[in-house]
Amino acid sequence: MRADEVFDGTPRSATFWWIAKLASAGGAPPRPGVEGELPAARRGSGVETYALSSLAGLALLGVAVRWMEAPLGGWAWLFAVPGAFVLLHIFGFSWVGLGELAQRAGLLPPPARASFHGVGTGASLALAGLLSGAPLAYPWLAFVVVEALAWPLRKIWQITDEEGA
Amino acid sequence: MPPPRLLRRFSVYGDFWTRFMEWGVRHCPGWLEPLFVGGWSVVFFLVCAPQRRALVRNLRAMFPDRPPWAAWVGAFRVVWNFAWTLTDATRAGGGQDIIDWRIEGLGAFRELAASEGGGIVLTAHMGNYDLAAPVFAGRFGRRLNAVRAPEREAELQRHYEGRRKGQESEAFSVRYNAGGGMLGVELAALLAAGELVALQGDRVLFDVSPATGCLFGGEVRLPKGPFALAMASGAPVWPMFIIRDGWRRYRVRVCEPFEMRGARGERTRVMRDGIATWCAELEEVLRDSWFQWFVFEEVFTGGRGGGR
Repeated sequence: MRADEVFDGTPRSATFWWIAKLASAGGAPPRPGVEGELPAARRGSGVETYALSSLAGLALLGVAVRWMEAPLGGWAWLFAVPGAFVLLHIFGFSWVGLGELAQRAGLLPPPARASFHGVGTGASLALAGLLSGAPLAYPWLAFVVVEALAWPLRKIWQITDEEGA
Repeated sequence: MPPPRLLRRFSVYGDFWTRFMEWGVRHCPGWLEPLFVGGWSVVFFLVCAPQRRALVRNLRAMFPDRPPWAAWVGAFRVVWNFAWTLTDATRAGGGQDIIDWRIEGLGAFRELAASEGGGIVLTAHMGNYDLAAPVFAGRFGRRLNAVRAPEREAELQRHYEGRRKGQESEAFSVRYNAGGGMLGVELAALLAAGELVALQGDRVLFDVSPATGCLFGGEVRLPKGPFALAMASGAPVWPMFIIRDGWRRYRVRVCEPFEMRGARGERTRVMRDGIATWCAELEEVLRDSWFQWFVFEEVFTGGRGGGR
């Protein structure tokens, strides 16, 4: 089962789903079929993805610099970007591995894997930020908490919507 | 002595990186995708020196008035866009309906769909041609046969063959220019049977016969096969380009068709005119979308002008 097939098949976080839902007062308007255009069913939002990715990138940079400052001093800034890239893979691989194990053990239903990877990676990044005193740790932690709460709430909303329809 | 088979799988032409990328796309939280794509684009840009140099030289030949650093930035943009098209292709190839398509040149597209008999769709290494063909093939009323150069490494070729098998249908099939010299005959037979054949006309790979064309005032090497096929079969040629417009949004640009017919004594002129028409269309597209021309070999031969 693909991780992202279930979470709407698009890189849409629950936080942004709620923002879009509230901003459009209950639902996004359908895109009319225009001749010569073939709209995607679930394209997702580039703005959202880049916004979250930028935040995560800054948080990773903060953690990488803090961790390398002690042994390297000012040279830490030189290795900040590759260090952050390595950290990203460490966090990412760890949560994919944990997700795989949890799924095989029957603890994690396949539809929840994408959320598990996303929230897990975000949470470990926030924790690393808090431990190292990185500047973006608290806003990032807030995002992760909202994300962890928003996903189940969103599911409830969807079920309510479907029952009401 | 060539490197051992196992090591070759880890080279830039090996299957390891493709499989790793596909695995990553399947498991990566979507909101981290730009970080992975950006990071790996930098890694490949730094590591793949011959490809980087070729991109820089091509861009300098295309835009000689721009400062040298612009060609380096441009080369990175090509790698970055290439990475995004691969990522999009992996998601879409896995069954996710995530790409918005738009057709530019709707009149020509309708004409192609309504036309009967064989036709050659001539395209370039841009955007996501791998992805567009199966999406639109069903609209042409006859089978579209996409011709591809085989991968340099056997493992990667096997991997792609397996993946593309899943895309094949009654309306779409993939053929490989694997050498042996029989492909031209096969394609001519398909055209005579009224089918469409999609070929790439901007890159000379392996032992493909080259022709000379003119792009941006410079001499370029192009594959001769598509033009020879058009002359031999008399089938019209439809230039078509796939362009990435933005976040999961692609445009199919269909141009007016041209034919390559002439008396026996005029073959040289007909070939030259056909190549010149193709080059004019390609140059117009590249002028705006040069950062999506995924040609990682030097195409400019150093000469100026002319088409032969």
